[in-house]
Amino acid sequence: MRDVAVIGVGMTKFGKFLETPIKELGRQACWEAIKDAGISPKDIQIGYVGNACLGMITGQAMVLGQIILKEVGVRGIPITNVENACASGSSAFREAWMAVASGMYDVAIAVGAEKLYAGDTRLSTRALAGGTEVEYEANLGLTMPGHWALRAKRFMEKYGTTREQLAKVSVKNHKNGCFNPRSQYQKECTLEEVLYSPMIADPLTLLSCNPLGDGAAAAILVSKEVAAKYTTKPIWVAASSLSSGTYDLDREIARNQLEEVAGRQAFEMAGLGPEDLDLAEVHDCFTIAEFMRVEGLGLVPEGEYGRWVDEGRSEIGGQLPVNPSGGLLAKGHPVGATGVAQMAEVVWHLRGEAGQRQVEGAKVGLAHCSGGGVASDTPACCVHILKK
Amino acid sequence: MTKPASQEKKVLEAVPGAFVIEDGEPHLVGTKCSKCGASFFPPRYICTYCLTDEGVEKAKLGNRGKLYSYTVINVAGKEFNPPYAFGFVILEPEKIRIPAVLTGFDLAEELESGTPMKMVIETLRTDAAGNEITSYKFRPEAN
Repeated sequence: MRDVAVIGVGMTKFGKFLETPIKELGRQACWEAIKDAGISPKDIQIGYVGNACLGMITGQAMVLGQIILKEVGVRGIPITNVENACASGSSAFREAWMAVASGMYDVAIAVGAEKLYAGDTRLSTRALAGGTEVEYEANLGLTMPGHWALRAKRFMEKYGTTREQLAKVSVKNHKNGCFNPRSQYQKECTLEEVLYSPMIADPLTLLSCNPLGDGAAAAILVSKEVAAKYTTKPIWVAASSLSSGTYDLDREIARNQLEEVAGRQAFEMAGLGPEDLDLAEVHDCFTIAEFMRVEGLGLVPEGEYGRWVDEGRSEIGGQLPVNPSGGLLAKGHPVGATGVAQMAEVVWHLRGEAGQRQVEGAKVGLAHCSGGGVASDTPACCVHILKK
Repeated sequence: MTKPASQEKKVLEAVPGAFVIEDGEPHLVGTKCSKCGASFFPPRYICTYCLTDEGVEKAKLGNRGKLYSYTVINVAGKEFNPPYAFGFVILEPEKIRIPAVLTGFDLAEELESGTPMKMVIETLRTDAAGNEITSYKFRPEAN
């Protein structure tokens, strides 16, 4: 397996852009990544584009990758569209990494793009329920927030975690979003605002859930030899792992076995441990998700994240900053775009380019995305470790 | 003049074949592996643990269980009418987790984990064409 470097990243602002076509969002992100890398579009040899919901939102159920990449002059090369629910972008990034690591290609582009906002919450809710088993749980009335609410109730019962502790994650991530010019929300919120915002699925209130929005992100991944030609600041992909769920009908739903598997594999591949991380972007689709995933990945011992959050240990400047970007809760979660946006965020910190939210001296960062909800398990979990 | 078949309002099941009613009692219909004894709902035709389809048979499952976790859903897709309770019941004796809308109690009331629940068949919603969609649900046994 060859060393693979990220030499360019791009990301649109995330937000509600009813009038902006997806190809325009994709174009902005891809062009920024291409310019950041200093390559020409014709240098790109293979592309992977992640998207999850567009088929239901606008009807664009097919060939999104080819549609976006033609806007930046990338045509004719192998292009594959990738879907793994919320882990679509990360999975696209992983495919691009494998293409270069295997030696088959030297320059790859990974893109994530999504339009989730349609001015109709029920349509977006239905689209997101496409990440559950539609012909079973969704048809019975389960929604994605409902799936997570069930796990939250069980988690609170098992570990004694309080509603206030869950809500503090939203407060932290909204505060971080204020320092991120691309964040959908750049305004702090108080604990009371989180606790008393409209209830979506008990105990998850509106501000405990990621917002609906649109956006795109892109990354250029290259071999060591190509990296040397274009940059003095390559960011290396130290690890990439992907796992899927077990869906056993007798498992504990307050724990995520697949995060444990993907996390362990990633740390082993990188030859590192959680203590070596300087920052982590962890898929906080709901406040409870940050809890379950930070613990599931082994970043914090089981049952301990409530105390961490009370003590501010995952704030920027804390023991291990979690979601310095603002996370999905504040930065937004255009589903397919998120995974690649997380890569961009980690790259910016490792290059020292993260502005006001910079984690000082960052050398190693983790990006985690998990997607879907089936049988109270998660179908896809993708973990990457990047290092300077 | 009779209505064309396509205009007749039908009664459909949310998860076709999920249950049978025998002697007035509804039961879930799943599968059971005779090798390892595992039960599956919805039915799985290859045992996940033995990795064989031999000895995996359709089975009538329990219709009672204990509440494991539940939430009240306030925002849902079209065709559903929130608020409604949705939860997991651990089916007895199979000890498998069954998702279902929960009914027969005041949503403001807090149901405790472990509450004995029993299965009922009720209308779940009406679809866009006006057909009635029925499903199994669970309600507190005591109510």
